[in-house]
Amino acid sequence: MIIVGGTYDEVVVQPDSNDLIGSGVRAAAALSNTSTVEKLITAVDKGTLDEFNLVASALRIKDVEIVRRTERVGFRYMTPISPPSINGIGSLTDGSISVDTQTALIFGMVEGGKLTRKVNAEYIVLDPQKPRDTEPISRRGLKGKLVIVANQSETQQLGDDANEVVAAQNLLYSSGAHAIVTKRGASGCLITFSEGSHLRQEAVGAVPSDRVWPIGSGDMFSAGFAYALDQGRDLVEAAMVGSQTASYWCATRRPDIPLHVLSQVDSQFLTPRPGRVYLAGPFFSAAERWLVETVYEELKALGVEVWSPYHEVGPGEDIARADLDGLDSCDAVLALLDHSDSGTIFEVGWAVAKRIPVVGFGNAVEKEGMKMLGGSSVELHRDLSTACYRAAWAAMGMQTRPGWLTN
Amino acid sequence: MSGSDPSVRRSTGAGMGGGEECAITFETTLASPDPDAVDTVRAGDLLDVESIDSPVSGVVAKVIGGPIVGAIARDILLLRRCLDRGNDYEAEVLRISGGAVTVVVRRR
Repeated sequence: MIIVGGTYDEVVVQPDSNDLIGSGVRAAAALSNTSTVEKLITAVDKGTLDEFNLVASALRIKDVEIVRRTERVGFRYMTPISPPSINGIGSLTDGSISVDTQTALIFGMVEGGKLTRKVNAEYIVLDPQKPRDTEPISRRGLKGKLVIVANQSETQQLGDDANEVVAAQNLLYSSGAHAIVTKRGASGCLITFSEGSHLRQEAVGAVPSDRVWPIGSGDMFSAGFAYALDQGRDLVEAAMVGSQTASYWCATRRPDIPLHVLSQVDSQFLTPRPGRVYLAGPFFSAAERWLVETVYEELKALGVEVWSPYHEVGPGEDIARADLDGLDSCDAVLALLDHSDSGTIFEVGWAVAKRIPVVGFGNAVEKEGMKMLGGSSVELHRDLSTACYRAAWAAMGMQTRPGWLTN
Repeated sequence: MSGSDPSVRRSTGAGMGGGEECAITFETTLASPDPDAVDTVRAGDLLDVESIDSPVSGVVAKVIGGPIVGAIARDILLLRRCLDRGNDYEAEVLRISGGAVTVVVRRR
């Protein structure tokens, strides 16, 4: 297998994180316990080269072909669930790359320029990574069975339909691809392919984990998926391997994925059902409103409906009945517990009494004050992205676990 | 809030752009962990942080007086520079999950 993909800084403000990694490096590191990867082809600028070489050694990436780029490229996130700002977006590459292998894993790259590619492989797994680029997928220079692995919004854009199921069908026909794999975050993925003259669509659920670091989970999915295809698995089995590879990464952030995760399909896949999350939390200060807004958008992106008092009812005096009616209509609650707002604590108690699963997030809340919550049925987290994912999964049918799960 | 809860993490100043560059503190998951070495460590253990040049150049966390547990990939260039200048670092094991070892690296 040959991997083509980026080397990027990934900086997160809260919680503090700073790695030189990117899609290409991450996928090559993920498969470093296998003997499958012949080479990583990536773009690195002169100023990053020494650091890149050390990182590649630490991650046991042995064979690297470097295409020079003009400047360093990085992604900066406020939190792991915030959209990133991108530095070095004007970085340019030049020259040509040639790939001749059994399975090629090709990630879209931030760098522009005149880099040309010629790929000849039995399977070409293409992860476009271009959420802002709505240009159709080009098959120029690609010879082999093309499998497009795209996230939900990319599939919707490339398939020109707001319904991702329809969009995936459109994309399959318009691109001439062998298959489309749509990554659906907390809901798993959807595989769309032709079987004879029939179109087939199969869903594979996510594998819920106790801890979720979502940055790079899509890269890990693609790496596991491509590896499994390379090993002769069919599309659906390969997607299952991709899903459990992503889950292992999210749970551990270990860059090299153990062989058993890549080779045995034995995880508990969540069969997602439509779910609705009640977003409980104070919205008095700018910081609180920023958090509510960020979590609201993230939960929607994870594939659940969100009922948020701030968005549905807003501030005011006579809000209790409307808020509690909203709460009663939900399958799970995500409670923002910092500052121990009395309204939020009341909502948590109401949900617990009604046996609605509750996931709580508190970055600065004292554990002492959370004893009644954790001691009843509330699952508690210090980690924001984990709390969002676990609340979404709880609404989809996952069993929550009382007490502190992320400290 | 009294600030007495040790699980409430407060900024160390690391990664914020201020202070001496070798006053490094960060959390990371070790790359390429050795399963045999991982079996010998527990949450709360302190590991040595060392710069190596063979078989490859890098920075590793190792059991004190024992085997290498895994490699550190974060801030690797800075960490090597600071180790070369005589700074001494340790890695405290925060958790071990599914064969993965998460540590906090800090200057002794």
